[in-house]
Amino acid sequence: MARTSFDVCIIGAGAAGSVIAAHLANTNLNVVMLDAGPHRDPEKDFASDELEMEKLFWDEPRVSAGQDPLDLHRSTSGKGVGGSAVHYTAQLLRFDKSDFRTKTTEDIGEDWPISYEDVLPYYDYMTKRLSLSGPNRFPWKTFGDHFPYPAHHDLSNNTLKFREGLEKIGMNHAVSPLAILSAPLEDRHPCINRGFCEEGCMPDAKTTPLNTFIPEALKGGVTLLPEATVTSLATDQSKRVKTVHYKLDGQIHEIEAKIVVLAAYAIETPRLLLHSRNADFPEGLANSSGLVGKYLMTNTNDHIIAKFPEEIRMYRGNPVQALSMDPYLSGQENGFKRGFILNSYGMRPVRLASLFLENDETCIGENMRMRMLDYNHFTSFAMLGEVIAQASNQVALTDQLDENRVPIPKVTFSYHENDVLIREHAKETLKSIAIAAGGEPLYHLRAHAHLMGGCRMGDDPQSSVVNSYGQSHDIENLFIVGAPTFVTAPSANPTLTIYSLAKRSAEYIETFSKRMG
Amino acid sequence: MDKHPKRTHYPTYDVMSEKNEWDPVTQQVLFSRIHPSEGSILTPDMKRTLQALAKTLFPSHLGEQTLSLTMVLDQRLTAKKLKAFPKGANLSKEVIILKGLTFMEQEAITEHGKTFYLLDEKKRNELVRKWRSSDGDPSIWAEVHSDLFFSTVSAEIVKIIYSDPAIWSDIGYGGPAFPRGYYAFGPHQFDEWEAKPHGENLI
Ligand SMILES: Cc1cc2nc3c(=O)[nH]c(=O)nc-3n(C[C@H](O)[C@H](O)[C@H](O)COP(=O)(O)OP(=O)(O)OC[C@H]3O[C@@H](n4cnc5c(N)ncnc54)[C@H](O)[C@@H]3O)c2cc1C
Ligand code: SF4
Repeated sequence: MARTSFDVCIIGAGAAGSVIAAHLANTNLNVVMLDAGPHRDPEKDFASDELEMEKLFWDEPRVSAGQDPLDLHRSTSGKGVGGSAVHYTAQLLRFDKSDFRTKTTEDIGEDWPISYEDVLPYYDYMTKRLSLSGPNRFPWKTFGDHFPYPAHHDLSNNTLKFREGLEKIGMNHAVSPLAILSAPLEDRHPCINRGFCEEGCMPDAKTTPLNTFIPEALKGGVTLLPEATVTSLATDQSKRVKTVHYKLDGQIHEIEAKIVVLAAYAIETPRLLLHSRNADFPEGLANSSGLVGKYLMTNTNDHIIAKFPEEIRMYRGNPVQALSMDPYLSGQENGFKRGFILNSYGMRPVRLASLFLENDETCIGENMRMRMLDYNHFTSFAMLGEVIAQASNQVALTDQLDENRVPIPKVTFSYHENDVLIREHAKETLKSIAIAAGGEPLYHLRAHAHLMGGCRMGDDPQSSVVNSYGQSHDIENLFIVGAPTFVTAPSANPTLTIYSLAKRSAEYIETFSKRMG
Repeated sequence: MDKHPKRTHYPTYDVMSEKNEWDPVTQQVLFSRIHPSEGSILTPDMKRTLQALAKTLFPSHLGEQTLSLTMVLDQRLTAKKLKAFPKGANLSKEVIILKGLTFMEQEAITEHGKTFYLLDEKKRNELVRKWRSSDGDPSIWAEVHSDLFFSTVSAEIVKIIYSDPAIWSDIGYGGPAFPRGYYAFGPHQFDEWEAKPHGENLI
């Protein structure tokens, strides 16, 4: 067993963890970052193949229960340095001002302890840092502005049909803001439209932690430990977190740290906190509110598959290329709250066939073959819907142990009635877009994407787990960053906000460490 | 051929003819899928059962496939790719599939005195219909319900079938596209190495 000590120990090298590491690398703090998965090289470790690239997804056992059990692997969770951002489709949007105040504006969900204006400087910073590409006149400026790279111009037939349909029914549309290079940047090439963004970008055109924050962290001297799975945290007599236990090469090791930053995404973060309970913290670390693991959220992400007389070939180009933000707050006029966004969303055969089967158990054998023979005539348009936070949607521990002797997590999830209304409304909108573009809508495929919540932020220690910087209300040297701290699950994709809030937390951690001495 | 009422739109397209254009890693991945090394998890009996089951569930696909489904699944099991739990279950996909294959044989023998892979098509279909609607003999399917086994095994088979270059050719999918990417954009424009567009006016 090795025992080492650092000023800061970051658990999880994904979107949030890597931002913290890159920032702290430029201070005089001694930082270590661990990730359960490997540190991959896009050219050597990625392939243009869906089945092979399943290796990017979280593959450890998780029990998924409730009325609407979630996909806790492919659609939501990555494993390895870079985290889930290695296989994201990289549509990066800011949230709306109302997203931080849904309780006040629509009497649903909860207000965040921060406002859009608090995050704005960080959105601006990340827009540049991530070399976002986007239209020079984006119709929805609160969601994105001043993109340093031009919008992608090679649009697939799937996207052209999507935009044609939106145009015909009188909705606004635009090319998506993407963390994908539309022109060269240093030695990185622009996107070649290969289409495998969700399998990892071999040409390295997609901006992820692997080509930004991780190299910056390493250059600044951060110690990165890949394939090191954290199994528990321990506190000392002064009720501060002190020790991180992790498994590497089949053995348990220890790190002592002055500050611990938990950035292990929405299931593993609460799981570690609950499992690390001790006499001082009998309900788990940072859990005096009883809310660790509670208010887990996702986004609904249903697709309408329509058939066109001409060939579409949805495999061409990056999957998500265009969007409409018009229905963002469409609930107010339609008998529900909040709303959704719309995207063109191309799928490769394994994903599409798997969604067919998941949605319709009779779609095997000849039925499946008949559908898939028309693959090249299909368009796929999707919605991304807001999901309302509910305390009953939660991460808890089972009695079953995994191979590291840590209890396997159980995730219970059921949709809120408002989520269902959003889905139904979006389904009809998607159908009308397909019809207006000349297609025949055939299949409605239910799916979901992203995980958020489980350690929500707030000002009141009784109704939240951390403050707006991710600092635990109960343990001052323990920070939680990334998706788990989200209070609501807006329909704009979450990761620009994750990166931005992580930067904000990193600055605070730097100041806090100086105060600690 | 009567079982194939609908044919491919691309009878002459062969994705594999472009394989030298792919990056070396992807070439290697496809090579070891088409020529898989022996896995060590499935027994010969299990492989026969699985093969017979796949034929019952996906009859016409199999005639068009070039992959050995059982070998690829065995390879994936051996590489520990199936350790996650399916939704709603607290057993790994691996355990569900291995137990399910055994239970299938037990029930086939109890009911017909013969292993599943030796039954005629009609009897196989009857059993599969019963199992898929969760009507398996409860004394046999106690640990793993037959409907959970079927949803799990079907999902795995579908992934393998649609990872087969021969099926990619059938559906006109361009397959791996690095390093060359796609350049021809705009309606009716495709890169010259893709499947040639077929007749319009399908609907
Ligand atoms: C298919 C897909 C498409 C997506 N597309 C988009 C998109 O277009 N736009 C967008 O905004 N978002 C998208 N996302 C979501 C985005 O990827 C996530 O929101 C984001 O990566 C979450 O950041 P995070 O830092 O909280 O967690 P992650 O990035 O997931 O990082 C968590 C890290 O912690 C590690 N870890 C977990 N447990 C442990 C442990 N015990 N010990 C050590 N390490 C551990 C994991 O290996 C992982 O690397 C997509 C996600 C998926 C899956
Ligand atoms: S489509 Fe572009 S960004 Fe996506 S994987 Fe291909 S090159 Fe990378």
